[in-house]
Amino acid sequence: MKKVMGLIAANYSPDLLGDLTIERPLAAMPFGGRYRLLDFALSNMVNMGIHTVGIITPSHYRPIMDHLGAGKEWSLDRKRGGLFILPGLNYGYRNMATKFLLRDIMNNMEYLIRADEEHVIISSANQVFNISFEAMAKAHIAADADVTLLYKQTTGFYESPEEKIFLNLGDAGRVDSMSHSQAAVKEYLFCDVIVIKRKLLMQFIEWYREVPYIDLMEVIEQNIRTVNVRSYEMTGYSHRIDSVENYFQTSMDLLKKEVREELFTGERKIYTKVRDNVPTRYETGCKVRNSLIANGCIIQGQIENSVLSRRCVVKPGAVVKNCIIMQGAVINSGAVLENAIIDKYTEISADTVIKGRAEKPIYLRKMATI
Amino acid sequence: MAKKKCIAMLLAGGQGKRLGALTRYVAKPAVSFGGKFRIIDFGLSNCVNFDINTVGVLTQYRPMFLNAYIGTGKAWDLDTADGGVHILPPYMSEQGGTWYKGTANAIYQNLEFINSHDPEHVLIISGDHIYKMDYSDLIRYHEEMEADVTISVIEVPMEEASRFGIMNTDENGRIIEFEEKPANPKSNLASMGIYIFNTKLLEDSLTEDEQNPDSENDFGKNIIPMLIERGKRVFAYKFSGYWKDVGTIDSYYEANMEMLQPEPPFSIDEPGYKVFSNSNIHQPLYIGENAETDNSIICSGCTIEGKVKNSILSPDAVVEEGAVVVDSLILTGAVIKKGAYVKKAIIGEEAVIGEDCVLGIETSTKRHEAGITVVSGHMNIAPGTHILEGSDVLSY
Repeated sequence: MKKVMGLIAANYSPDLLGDLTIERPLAAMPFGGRYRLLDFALSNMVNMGIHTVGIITPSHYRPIMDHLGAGKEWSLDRKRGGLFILPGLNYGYRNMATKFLLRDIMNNMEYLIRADEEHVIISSANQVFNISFEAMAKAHIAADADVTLLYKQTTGFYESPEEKIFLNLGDAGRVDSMSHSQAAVKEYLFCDVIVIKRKLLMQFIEWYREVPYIDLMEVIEQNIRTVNVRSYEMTGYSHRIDSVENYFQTSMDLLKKEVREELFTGERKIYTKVRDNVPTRYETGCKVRNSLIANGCIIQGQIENSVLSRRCVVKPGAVVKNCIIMQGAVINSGAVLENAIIDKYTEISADTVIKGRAEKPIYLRKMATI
Repeated sequence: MAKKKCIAMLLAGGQGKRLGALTRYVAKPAVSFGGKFRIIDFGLSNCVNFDINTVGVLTQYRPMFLNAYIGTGKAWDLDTADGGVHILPPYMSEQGGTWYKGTANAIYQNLEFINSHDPEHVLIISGDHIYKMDYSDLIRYHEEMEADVTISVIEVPMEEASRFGIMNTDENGRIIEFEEKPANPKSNLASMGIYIFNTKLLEDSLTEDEQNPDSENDFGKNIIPMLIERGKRVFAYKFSGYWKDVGTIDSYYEANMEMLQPEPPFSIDEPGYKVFSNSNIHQPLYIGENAETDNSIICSGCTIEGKVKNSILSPDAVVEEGAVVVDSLILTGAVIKKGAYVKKAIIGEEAVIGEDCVLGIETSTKRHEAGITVVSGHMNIAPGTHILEGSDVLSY
């Protein structure tokens, strides 16, 4: 896949998860005990065999940089190609529907001009999925498409369809038009991944130089009659994280064997920053059921249906049920947590009881002492 | 290249025969330890944590996995421009070539490597010890004593002293006599197999030793006694921390199990000190609905559906429903199938213990002193097999 270069838009909708995303961009949201959301898009790109990936960063990009470093865990510390950090704009900060502002790409034109790849694969950074981008790119090349859009078939109605894009498909997977409303249960939902010819992308930027605050998807929509826009179907597990509730739900999905197998144990690995923590200790008296636990934890209490990140401590007599516990949190003796999301380095004092509802989990913010 | 204060030579070529089934496919330094680590991680991490950034790793026995594991050294931050980790296998020259005959010969064959870095001192360490040592303290002591050679020693119980190489010192710490496994030890200062040499002396003594056809070309047996005899300034540096030679099944098992104590004698989780390892990418571990975990260390990538007690599980190990693992070490990727019972065993990497197997329960003549059952890596034990306590199960 030497013909393709990657571009990840890690700068949109950064505050969708409310308090969880005050200090970190959505792309850097911890997920599944040891990953960050960005890992999925980035690993999918690396797994297609490309060695050049640009990341468009939001204004508070420190957590992203901290996580990525020189990109060595993703084998992106290359002499040829490698990882490119592309400073994005603050524009579109609160515009949830925006996905890929042309302006962001224009600001980083060097990245496109100096490349010699024929195609660019563009992805958002808030989707949990492990799919073959390679197959998508191959289909794009085989069909001699100018643009290929990733979609999946919906199985239910969406709460806020106006923020989504549905594709109307014609013959041979051609995209005839797009709409922002959902007419039927079964529609073709655009899934935030685009393969586009690099030259065409540069041409779009040239054409729309005067109206730069336009979304790439709008540009594609306006030119749908003159460019060859194709579609590529994504099957299997995928979730776009855009609310606290579905962040919680998607995390809990990892407790299902078939989801874990699909995301993590196949040939395509999901890479993440390696921390060199010690293994987790399960001490006498601990009781752990149906949970995912990262390295470096000390488990003395009771844990059920939960996801724990690295270096958490659950003291004797503490009960953690249906929770997401992020890195370095300490749950003291006798504390009871249910349906809660505990952010990094938060300490829960002894005998505190915190219970949320499964459909509305409680969130405790970073470095708090409760 | 700038002159270096000290470089390290890590002896990693030994087969580790006494680890039996565990070293069937890999050299001793590449054997798993403490769940996610491999034995060589401790030596390499000591170097990195304590400011030695040039390490030559001497390999010989089954080097494939070990070489791949070390790679460019980046997992230990040893992929630096002025230094880094260098794998040094035996090689051919215009005079022909030989395998490394002994520890001293291995270093002798790589004097060119040492000289290319032009260090003041050469630290010689081995790849099969579990310990944390600030080498800069050792170097400082070596310099203060104006020593030619300094040997790191540790006090062992007097009754065990006859199993070690024992150093007899004068009041200043200078070694006056070295006895290999003495029947009647005069002191309890045992050599840890860690030496620091002034480079010039190292070169001279190795070159001389090479000329002696009767020599076994071994540091402990030949070089050190020769230098003491010649009246060189050979000093003992007393080390008081944790140090364990994990060269036998029993000591390997014991050292692992010590990590499960409430206050492990060797704490690998301390601020400012990290044991690095070349971890693969593993998902977090999953503990199932009916699983039980008690006093165990379990690494990422594992799936636990059965019962695990007083055990250490390396990454990607699987314990299926109804299986029981007690007092055991399950190495990377091993699978304990449904209903199997594993007691006091070491299950090698990627081994599969079939359904309803019973390991280590029925007594036998106990091949290993402590009754530890060992299954070598990549073995597939057929369902329902019973394996006696203390057996060594190897594939041929």
